Amino acid sequence: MTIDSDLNNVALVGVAVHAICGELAREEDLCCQIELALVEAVNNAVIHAYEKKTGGKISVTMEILPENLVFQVRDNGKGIPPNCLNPLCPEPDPENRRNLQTGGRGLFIISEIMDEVFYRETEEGNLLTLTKRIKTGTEPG
Amino acid sequence: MKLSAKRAGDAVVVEFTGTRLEAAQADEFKKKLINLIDRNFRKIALDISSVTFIDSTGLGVLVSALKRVGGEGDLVLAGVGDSVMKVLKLTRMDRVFKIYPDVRSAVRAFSG
Repeated sequence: MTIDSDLNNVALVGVAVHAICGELAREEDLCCQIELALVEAVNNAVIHAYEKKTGGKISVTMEILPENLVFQVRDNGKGIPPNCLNPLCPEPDPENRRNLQTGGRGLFIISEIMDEVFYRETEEGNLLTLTKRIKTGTEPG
Repeated sequence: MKLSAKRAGDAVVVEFTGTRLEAAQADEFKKKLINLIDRNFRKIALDISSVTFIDSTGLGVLVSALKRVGGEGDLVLAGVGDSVMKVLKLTRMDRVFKIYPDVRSAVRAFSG
């Protein structure tokens, strides 16, 4: 599916992915996780690649393999800075609220949920490939 | 997305109405919550029992609000469902926020 770079469209991707995942895996917890990872990926495209400006295109594809779901999120905005590609979740200190981070958890969440995360910048745009190992019940074609 | 607030003893109960707390609602949600805090309501029980989906941007608003209430106040979460709790745990935010099963126990904690 392809959406305009508007945060109001992100839930459409999440709900669609969740529904398809539900048909394939029938594990609600897993579907919630995959939905979250895709929402984070598309949020990043809208917020960072297109800087919250509408009019950009974000395409999301899903490939169903016998033991994997492979998602690709493509945009034509700004790329992800290299120093953000290996995110760590800082251990929050409950006693020190001032130092709590209010953002920057999206890629960390994606990397925690997905089994493989691969990013590259191509002539056709920025491409984030997310792979989740699940038994889909489909046979190779 | 709708926010409603009512006093309950020393605290104010803020109810978030909506199933998704995500980037699309984040700016409006943050503005309303910060506005409330800046009117000196600094003991907040945030009822998110209707929320079934939260993303990192929604979570970021909660963290911003927690920072805003300062050391003398608190923002606690009430009615956290399973899916939201999993995100809080994934991001270690379950160690930062006080979490109560319902509004009544959250309000009681402020009174005690």
